[in-house]
Amino acid sequence: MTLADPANASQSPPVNRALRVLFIASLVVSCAPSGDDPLSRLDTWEAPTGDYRIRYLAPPWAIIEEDLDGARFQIESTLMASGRIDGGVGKYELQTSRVPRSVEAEMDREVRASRGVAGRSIEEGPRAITTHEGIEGLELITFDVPDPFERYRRVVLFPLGASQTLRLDFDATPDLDSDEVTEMIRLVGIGPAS
Amino acid sequence: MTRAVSILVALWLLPAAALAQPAALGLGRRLGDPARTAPTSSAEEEEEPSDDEGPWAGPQIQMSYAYSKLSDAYGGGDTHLAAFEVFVQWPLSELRTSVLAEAGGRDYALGGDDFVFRAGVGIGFQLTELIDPLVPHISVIATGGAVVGQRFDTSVVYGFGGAGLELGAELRVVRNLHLAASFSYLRLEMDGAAFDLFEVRVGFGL
Repeated sequence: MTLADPANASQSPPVNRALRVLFIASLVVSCAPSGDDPLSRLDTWEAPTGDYRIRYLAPPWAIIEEDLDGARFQIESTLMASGRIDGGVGKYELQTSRVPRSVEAEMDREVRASRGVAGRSIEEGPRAITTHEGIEGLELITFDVPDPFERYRRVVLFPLGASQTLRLDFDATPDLDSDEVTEMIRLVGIGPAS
Repeated sequence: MTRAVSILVALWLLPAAALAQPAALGLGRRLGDPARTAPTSSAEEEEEPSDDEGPWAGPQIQMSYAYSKLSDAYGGGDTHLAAFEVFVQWPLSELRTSVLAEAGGRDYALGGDDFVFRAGVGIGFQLTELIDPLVPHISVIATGGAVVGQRFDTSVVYGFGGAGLELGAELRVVRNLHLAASFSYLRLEMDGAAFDLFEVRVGFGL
């Protein structure tokens, strides 16, 4: 094409670039998982042993550390997020671990331990909770009076098999008996990934 | 005595004559030709230039209420928005272009409601003459916006974007005042997930 030739809009680089971007964008949108599926918006952390997995919304949740038995998740406090303090206890904390006891034995131990802690009261439980995959477990919600500040705790136990129990220790300033936390617990995956 | 009676009769007749005068005085009377009468009032109305004549060029601005369901994946997602749309007028009235802004609330099943903002542009075709005063249209919509909410007591913002198709119509009531209704399908991408959004909008405009 010479300079004397009339410009052909359909062949101009900006138009071609825009069409390519539009085409790629349409492919991305059409291939994305459906927003109706809760898992489409969640990240998944799977234990190195492959026998359980935690599905979490990131952000605000983030993994702080992990090992063979479990991982520590956190939502930063407002002070941490604003950079005024570095480290410390987050607004929400979740520690996952594996204990060599049955669910019932571990819950008995947890209830006794909670009753022995000064300033700690049992708010709910022990009560049953079931994951979306049909795994039944037990949970206990406690509240610590301000020392130095009030914290809720929610301990959830699910059977892992071979006399092992998955233990989820939630610890937060807001009330942990909320729909969001309950849904996060019910989305825990137990057993090998399908 | 006769003179006094004459004056009383004249005073009694004067108001009736004054009331009757506008009808009796015609254009010719005013112009000095009593034989000619003024056109009737209905004829005067017919002769007045009317700005209702001709096909309607379509809407210029619209305010509307919109409902859609932007799924939150947990059974919520009912979204109620107030919308404001401005139309660009072209010499070719069948060409329909508009800029839209919507804001409102979205139900989040696991917590408090989210705030939703959406902006969009539409390019389409409208039938301004065929079944006037009803103006149907079809438009292609490109849109983007954000959902602002609280997740685990922490503020989060999710941007979204997408495109779709809108079908609708305006019914002109008087002058530019019109009622509007539309239905649109949008395919959106937000936070790595795709959403099929069906939106119904009703409103009015000028």
